[in-house]
Parts: sequence; C-alpha cells; structure tokens
Amino acid sequence: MYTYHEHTELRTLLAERGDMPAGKWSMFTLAFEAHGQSVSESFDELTCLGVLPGLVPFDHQIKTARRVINELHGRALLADEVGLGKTIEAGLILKEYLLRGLVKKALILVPASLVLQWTRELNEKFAVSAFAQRNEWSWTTYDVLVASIDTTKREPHRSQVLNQDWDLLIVDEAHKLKNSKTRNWQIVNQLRKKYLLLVTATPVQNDMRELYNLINLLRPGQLGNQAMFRSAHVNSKRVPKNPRALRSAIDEVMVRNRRRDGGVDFTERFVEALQVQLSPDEQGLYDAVTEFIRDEYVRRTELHRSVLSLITLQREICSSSYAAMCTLETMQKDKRLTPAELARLRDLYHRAESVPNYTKVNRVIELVKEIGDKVIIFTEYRATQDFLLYMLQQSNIRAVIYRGGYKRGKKDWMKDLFEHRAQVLIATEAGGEGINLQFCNQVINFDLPWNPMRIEQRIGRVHRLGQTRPVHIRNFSTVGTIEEHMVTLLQDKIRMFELIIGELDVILGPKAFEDDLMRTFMESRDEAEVKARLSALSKRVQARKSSAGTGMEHNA
Amino acid sequence: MNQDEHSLFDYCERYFRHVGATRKPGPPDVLCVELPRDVDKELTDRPFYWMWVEAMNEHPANTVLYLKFKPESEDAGAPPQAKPELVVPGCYRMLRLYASAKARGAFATAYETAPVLFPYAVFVVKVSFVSDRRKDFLESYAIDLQTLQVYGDAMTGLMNRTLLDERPQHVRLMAAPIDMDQVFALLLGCVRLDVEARDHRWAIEARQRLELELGRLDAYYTSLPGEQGDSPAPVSDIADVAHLALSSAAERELRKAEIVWRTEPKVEVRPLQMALAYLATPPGSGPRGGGTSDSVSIPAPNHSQPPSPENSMG
Repeated sequence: MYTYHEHTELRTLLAERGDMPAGKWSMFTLAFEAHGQSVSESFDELTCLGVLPGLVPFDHQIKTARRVINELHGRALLADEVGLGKTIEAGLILKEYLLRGLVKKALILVPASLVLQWTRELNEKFAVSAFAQRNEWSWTTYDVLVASIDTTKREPHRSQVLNQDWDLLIVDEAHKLKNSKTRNWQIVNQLRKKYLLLVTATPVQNDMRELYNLINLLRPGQLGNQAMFRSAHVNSKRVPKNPRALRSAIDEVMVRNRRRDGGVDFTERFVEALQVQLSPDEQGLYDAVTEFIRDEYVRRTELHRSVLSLITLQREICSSSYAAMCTLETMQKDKRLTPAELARLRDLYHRAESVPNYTKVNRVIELVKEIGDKVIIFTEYRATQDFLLYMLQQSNIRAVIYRGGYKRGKKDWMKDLFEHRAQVLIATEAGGEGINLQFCNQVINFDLPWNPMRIEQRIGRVHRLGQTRPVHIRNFSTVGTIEEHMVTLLQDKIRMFELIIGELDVILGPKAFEDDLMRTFMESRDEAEVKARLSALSKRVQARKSSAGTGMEHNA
Repeated sequence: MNQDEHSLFDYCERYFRHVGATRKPGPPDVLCVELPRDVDKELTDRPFYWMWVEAMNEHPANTVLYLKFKPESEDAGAPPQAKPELVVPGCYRMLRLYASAKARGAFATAYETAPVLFPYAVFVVKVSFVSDRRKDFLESYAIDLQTLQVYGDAMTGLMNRTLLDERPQHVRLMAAPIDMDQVFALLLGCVRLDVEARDHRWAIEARQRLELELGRLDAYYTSLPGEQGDSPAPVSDIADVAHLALSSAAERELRKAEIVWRTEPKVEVRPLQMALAYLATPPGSGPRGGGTSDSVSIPAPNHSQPPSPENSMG
C-alpha cells in the first residue's frame, strides 16, 4: 500500500559523537518545541497562513492555493484575470510546499523583466529565500531560483537545468508556452518536475490549440490527443463545440477567478477621451500618408504582397510623425519601388521631417503639468517614446523610459527611478507586461493599440490589487484621423474601458478584431463607409458581449 | 502582548538564555541581546563575512539584536549598533532560531532528582505520510534501558518534570549496558508497529490516484501513433527546435516517473532527537515496572538482521 522509509541520520550523528548523547536538556526541549512548529498536522490545512509576516492574502487567493494543493495535486493553470494576484497564489502554494517539506528545489521561470520583482516578492512577502539566477553556478547553488525563461532555454543553462530534478516549477506569463513547437514549450516539457504551476491571465489568445498545449504540459491526455480534442471540443479556432464539457475537462487543471465574482474591491476607474486638433501642417501630412497607404494597400493586395509595413505606417502616423519617419525611411529601401513611388515616399518623409510643431505632444506636456502627480504614458512606438522623453525633458519634467529591450537590472532600476525620482514613466507595450505600478494612478494612452488585450495589460499595471486610489485613464483622440474612430469605437461603443478586465478576450478574440479594424480602415472608400463598418463591428461585439455567458472562456 | 506574541517572546528569551547570550537593558517587551559569535553565525547567514573575519584574524564587536514582538514596541531604546527588528511567526529570524535550536538540541543527557535513578533512552521521531500532500506526526518514545520496555508519548510527561543537565550529588544511577544499535532498532521496530496501526485510507486513495493517472497516461500515449499534421505554423523561434524535442517514448517515461514521484504513498520515519535520561519513574503516570497504558514491550531485534531502511509494506 505504501513504501516505508527509515531515515537514520540521527544514528550516524550519534556514532560520530562516540555514542554519547551529550547536550543540555533545556536545549533538547527547545528543539522539541521547534520541531513541533514544523509539523503539518493535517493533509488539508494551509499551514503557511500562520507564518506569513508581510502578507494578508485575499479569500480567493487562499481558496485557490487550497484547491491547487488538495484537489489539483499541485499541477495547475492559474488563470485569474489581470490584477487579482496570481503571483500571490503561486507564492502561497510554493510556501506551503516548502513548509511541508514537499518542495526543496523550486524554479520560477518568468520574463526577464520580472525576475527581480518575483525574487523580491518571495523574499519580502513570503520569507522564502529566493535568488535571481545570475550565472551558470546559480542552478546548483540555490534551492529557490527565479530565472528568465529566455536565458534558461539557451546553453549552457539549458543542460544545467535539465540535469536536475525540480520539486516545483512555476512559469509566469505562461501564454508564452502556447505553441508546442517552440523552445519555451520544449524546455518546460523536458524539465523533470514534481509540481507545475502555469500562470497566465490569457490561456487562450488566438486559438483553442493554445489551451490544449498548456494543459498537455500539466497533464498529458487530460483533453485526449489532438484529434480527440478537435473532434470533442473544437467548433472553430475560437469557439468550443460543447462549452460545458470543455469546462468540466479543464476544471481539473485550471483555476480562474474573475473580478466580477466579487470578494475584492477595486478602486473606481475614470476614463476620458482627450480630443486634439492637428495643426494644418500635421493634418496635411496625415492625409497624404493615409492616401498613400490606401493606394498602396489596394495595389499590394492585388499583387498578393505583404501589407504589414502599411499597417505599421498607418498606426505610426496616428501616434506621431516622428514614429512614421522610421518606417517611411525603411520603405524607401525597397528595390521593387517605381521611381514615382520612391519620389512619393521621399516627399512624405520630408514633409514629416519638416512638421514645425507637435500638437499632441504639447497637449501631453500640458496635461502632465496639470496632473502634478506620477503619470504613466503608454505608446506603442519607440520613436514616439524617445521623442516624448526629449520633449518632456525640454519642459523640465523628469521622465524615464521603460521598454522590452532593456536588461532586467535596468528595468528594475527604471521602475525604482519612476517610483522615487521621476514624475513620468514612458512605457511601450513590451515594457508593460507584468510590472506592478500601483503607486501610480494616472495613465495616458498617447496612442491606442489595435489589440484590446494590450490595452487591458496597460490598465492592469495600475488598476490591480494594492491600488488605493481611483484610476484615471486618458485616451488621446486626434480629430479627423483613424485614431478618433478607434477611441470612439473602443471607449464609447464597445465601452471597453468599463468592461471588467479579462472579459475582453472572450468577447473580441483579439487577433480577429485587429484584422477587422485594418480591413475597415483600408477598404472603406470614404468616412461614411468607415463609420458604417465600425458600427457593424461594434454591434457584432455587443452581440458577443451579451452571449459571452455561453462562451468558452466564460465557462472555463 | 497577545498570546502568540508572548509565546514567541518566551521561546526567544529561553533560547538566548540557554545559548549564553547576554541580555542588555531594554523595555520589558523587547529582547535586546548580545550574541556570542557561534550563535551569531547560526542566526544570520553571512558565511563570507565570517570567512573574512577569521582569515584576517579580526575581532569585531559582538552583534546585538534588538527584537520587538509587537509593532508598536519602542524603537528608541535600541542601541546604535542594533536595528530594531519585528519578530513574527515565520519571519527570517525565527526560522534561523528554530534551526539553531534543532541543531543544538539533537542530543541531551538529563537527570531527575531522586535517590535512585534509572536510565531511559528518550526519542523524538517524526513520522510523515507523504503522497502529493503530507501529514506529520511528532512522536516521542522512552525506552527503559534495563528492561527494554518502551513507553509512548514520553515527552508529554517529561516536559512537566524538572530535569537537570548535571548529575545531582548523592544520587545512585542504575547501570545498564547500552547498545545504541539495539536501542535504535528497537525504537524503529516500535514506530513501525505504531504506524501500521494507524488509519491508512490516505495511502489507499493515493495508490488509486496513482493507478488512475498512470492509466490515463498510457491511454494517451497509446493513442498517439497516427496523430499527424496539425502542428501550428512555424514561428521564428522554432527553426531548429526539432532536435531538442523529446521522443514520444522518452516523454512518456518522464511523465510516468513524475507521477510516481509525486503520487506514490510513502511513510517516512525520521528520528530527530535522542536523550539519555535518568529518571526516578517511567515517563507518564504509572510507577516503574507497573506498566502504563501506552507502554509496549517487544523483543529486541536480531542484530545481524536489522530492519531494512527502505522496503515495501502491504
């Protein structure tokens, strides 16, 4: 029924002392009491709750930890919506296993930008001696190690990690394991681990296969093989055949808490659209670039050539002329251009270069001064980011930049600078993932991404557990541009900023939404058609919103 | 101080007293203590510092700790070299302190005060039921070294008695030949009997779960051949990933090993402490030789065939 193991280290120790049990009785009784403190008296209770010096977990976090340990047997997908404290849940589970002696060696794989944040939280909130992986020696030196997944999958680290047994593996931002053909997925699959926690708010982004791949890491065969999964559960890429059956199948490996389930009070959220009227020069440039994009879009679509650079350019010109200049310059290098096209591109580039003032940037500077508190400005483009930094500095406003390409030490440093020294953090999407900035409650969306999940990630940086003040979100909307339509659509028609974070992926299916938008803007002949198509799009979204109760994600 | 704060304070106060730390003046609800170097090494993890101190033959001043047990305790009385530190359950300092006490208190020799004392081997043993979850029992036993009679739950009685570290004067100690191997074997045999008598539904459930998981795994991998095509479109990251992937057979073995590792029911028995106690009467209430309700006497095992440290039950 069970295997029986006798550990006789005490006998060895005594033999080393010549079989003389010398020592003081008073210390013997103190040791007895100390052993009593580290006994798990029940299979089910969370012993860690009594020994968390710096943390009072929320009920849903305690329930999740209990469920993962007692019912899911330590292999689970933690898929709470953004801002509900998945890190805390994972930390509770880790701490409980450490206390019970079920975990000694634990590895936490996270994006590089989150290594120090995780290490700090485990040390400060959970009194777990976690170390950030620094070099090849770290793998064998420390018991609880936080490492970047990108570093881990490269040699020589890969071999080192695979050569060891890990009692617990936690993977944060686990949507990066959605494709089973990637190195990320492969390394997690190959690691020998007893318990496994995958942490992500978005277990499905574009395709139900992503969910299958995540669950197969946790429990191969839970959803059958791929063919069985398809035939039993998949209607189309994003629509399940039988939501109830899928829900019951994934319930054995997944926990998903939602904001609307209550129990947690979030502060209020105020959303405002700030309209900006471009100067005649800027408007002229915008119109010229847009006209060029439309002409090219039709031509390239007919020739079956990529329109990616056009999409980028269209979005950049909404952000700033500065951002568009980089793409205009790159496009000029295309050898397939006719002389006329090249001339047109050069002309656009020079017009962008010679724009005399920057209305949107000036408005941002005014706004930051009005707010007089810490502000995060989000933009999608590095060129815009650099430009904003320069302009803010010219106005004597202390600002720091935060972007995906930074090494983790620099990211941590920038976050600290923002918290203690600067008024403004200018962040790109890549930089926004996973960092906690609850000390700030003012967000400016200098430009809006067309992927709603990324908007959600932006807001999730500040509107999360730990935020004590109302959160103010301001969306810039440049009159007479695509951006105006976007802000109207997302803010007023879909009312996405009022949606509960986490519902959006259910309703829109981010990739499809992005594609729909591009087609709308590119294929419409005039403003009226744009409006009509966007109106149809928003109606479709409304319909999905009301039927979301039967959707897969909802049921999951 | 509330009860929890008070019991932590009491534990720390006893610990520092017994390790020879010097208590310095301070508010009554605060422990301000100067640590001997060996204790300092155990309570703060800084091996490189000590390596440097010893290599350079330095003589730094002893560390002073200023431990508060409730947040509102005064910081003002803290000496300049000590940083006020809040001690709460689970904090770093308590974890180090418990570890230090466990290491220092693994063995003891103790004496009661009475004209005639009899030798007992007292053991503290941790018994753990382990599958993917865990439950522990902290058991204690006393073995009469003259009769080899074993008494359970020994520490409950002994914690209420006064035992001395030094042999009192004018006391007659009854001698007994002590063969430690025999005593340990007897202890382990006794623990095994106790373990067998416990409720093992947990192990039955874990075993069933193990079989179920292994069955599901087999069904999955058996269904795989013939499964083709349907791989996601290549992405830049995957160009040369194929050679890194596990074969289906290797993956199957790995997952199987993980399931067994995690789920298989195990009983772990770990003696943690041992004391040689000279007692006037057996632990518990009954008179010596009269037997107690939880006393057990079993034949001493054959020395040439000690119980195997790892084998299978049931």
